[in-house]
Amino acid sequence: MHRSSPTGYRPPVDSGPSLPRPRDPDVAALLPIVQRVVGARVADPTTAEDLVQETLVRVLAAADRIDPGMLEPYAISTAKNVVVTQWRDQDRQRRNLHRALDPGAPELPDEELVSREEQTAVAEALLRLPEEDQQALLAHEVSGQDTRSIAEECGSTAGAMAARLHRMRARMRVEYLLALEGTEPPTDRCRPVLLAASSGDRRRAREADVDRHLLECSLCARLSRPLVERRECRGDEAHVPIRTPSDVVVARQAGREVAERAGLGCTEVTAVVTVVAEVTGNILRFAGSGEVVLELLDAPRPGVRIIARDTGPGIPDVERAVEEGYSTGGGLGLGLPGIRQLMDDCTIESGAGRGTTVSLTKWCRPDER
Amino acid sequence: MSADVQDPQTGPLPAQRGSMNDAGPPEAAPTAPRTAVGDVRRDYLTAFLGYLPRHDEAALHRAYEIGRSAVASGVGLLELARVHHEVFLRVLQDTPPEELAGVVGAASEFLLEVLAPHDMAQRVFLDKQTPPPS
Repeated sequence: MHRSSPTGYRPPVDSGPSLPRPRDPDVAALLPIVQRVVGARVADPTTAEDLVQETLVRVLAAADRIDPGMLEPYAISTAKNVVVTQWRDQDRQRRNLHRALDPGAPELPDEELVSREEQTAVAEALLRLPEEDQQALLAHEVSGQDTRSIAEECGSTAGAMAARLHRMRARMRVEYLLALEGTEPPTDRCRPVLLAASSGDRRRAREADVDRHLLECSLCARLSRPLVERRECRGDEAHVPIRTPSDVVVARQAGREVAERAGLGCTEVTAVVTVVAEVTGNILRFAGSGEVVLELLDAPRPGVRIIARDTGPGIPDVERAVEEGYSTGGGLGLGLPGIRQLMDDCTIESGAGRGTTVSLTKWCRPDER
Repeated sequence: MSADVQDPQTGPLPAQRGSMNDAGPPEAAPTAPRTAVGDVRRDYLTAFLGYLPRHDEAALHRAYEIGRSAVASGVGLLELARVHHEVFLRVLQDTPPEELAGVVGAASEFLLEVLAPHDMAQRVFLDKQTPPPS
């Protein structure tokens, strides 16, 4: 970048005694017109200043060959050419910019170490499977052998083998996470819960009471995060942790989205959102924290399931709690009886010291879709 | 209507007019005692004005809370309907014609949330009146 003199013109550096020049063109007189020509074409003042100087240098260099009367038109043409050349250079640079891009990110110092740890964990997880499962999994996932031929070798059917491979992969994911963590589950319930979470089978997850265990066991809650996220990628289920009043709004929004996707009518969507607000409010009021799960159902017909779960003090007398007007929390006493009325199915599991799980379902009416 | 309620986007609202002054006691006066309906009216206006520009879930949750506190403090459906009408009229007076459809839709969504707790209470009441199956 050039630095300009106060006049905008920087004379060439005098590098020592030079031959007397035949005549010195009046460069200062050319400056305003050159600045005007360049300024009309280039918005950036710094670039314009550079181009003005470039023009003047060229005019000076050619001054010997130009008739004094033609100096100004020559300067104007030179200025225009300099600007066009600069535009052309910019365009060329822009077009070739992608060539300068290096798509390969530099390898971070710890990447190799992490990669080695992951490879070790995969190997260890594989070794924890029965020998026969190891062979089948390697044949299918690594060698690319099809399910049917593996099934024939094992004396099974393709469908049964596919289901078995699905279970193997689920177990492999769990063993990999445990190996990577370098730990063993603290309780007997942990591994079956992690396996159920990994399988992505809702019925199995419900039977194993996966979500409740994840609220109670911090190790499984941490380890299962990638497994649960994998499940949520399907887009028909949302888990909303409830810890602060702002989480109620997040849960309401998730409930509204699921209800709308299920095809519920406008007032039914409001009913679902009201129920979400009630159950999340109860979690904050009585347990302090918990979780709400919103599921999009498609069988036996479209619908929405809301599962609100906490590990709070629980409800000692569930039957009494669902009676109208009964409230221990200074509320309306309408909460549980009210949400029961707004939904089609309602199940409450609770007991003193056991936390509470409320499961509610709303089905689409046939005329709503 | 509370005189100190301001539109968060545009500053103070114009003074009450016509039927709004006839709607009830002047809760807004500094010396007037607070009433449950007055509180609902004030909260309703603030929350509805907050809902109009963004149509966000947080404002709808405030609408639901207004309905819930109305049930808790004994403010009935008729009074809620009147408050909604007053606030709606007031907002419509300042609404350009091209935005009318959006405001009407927003008012409907907002009102549903406010009425939801009453709906819930009514269902519970009706269930209580229905004799159990023999």
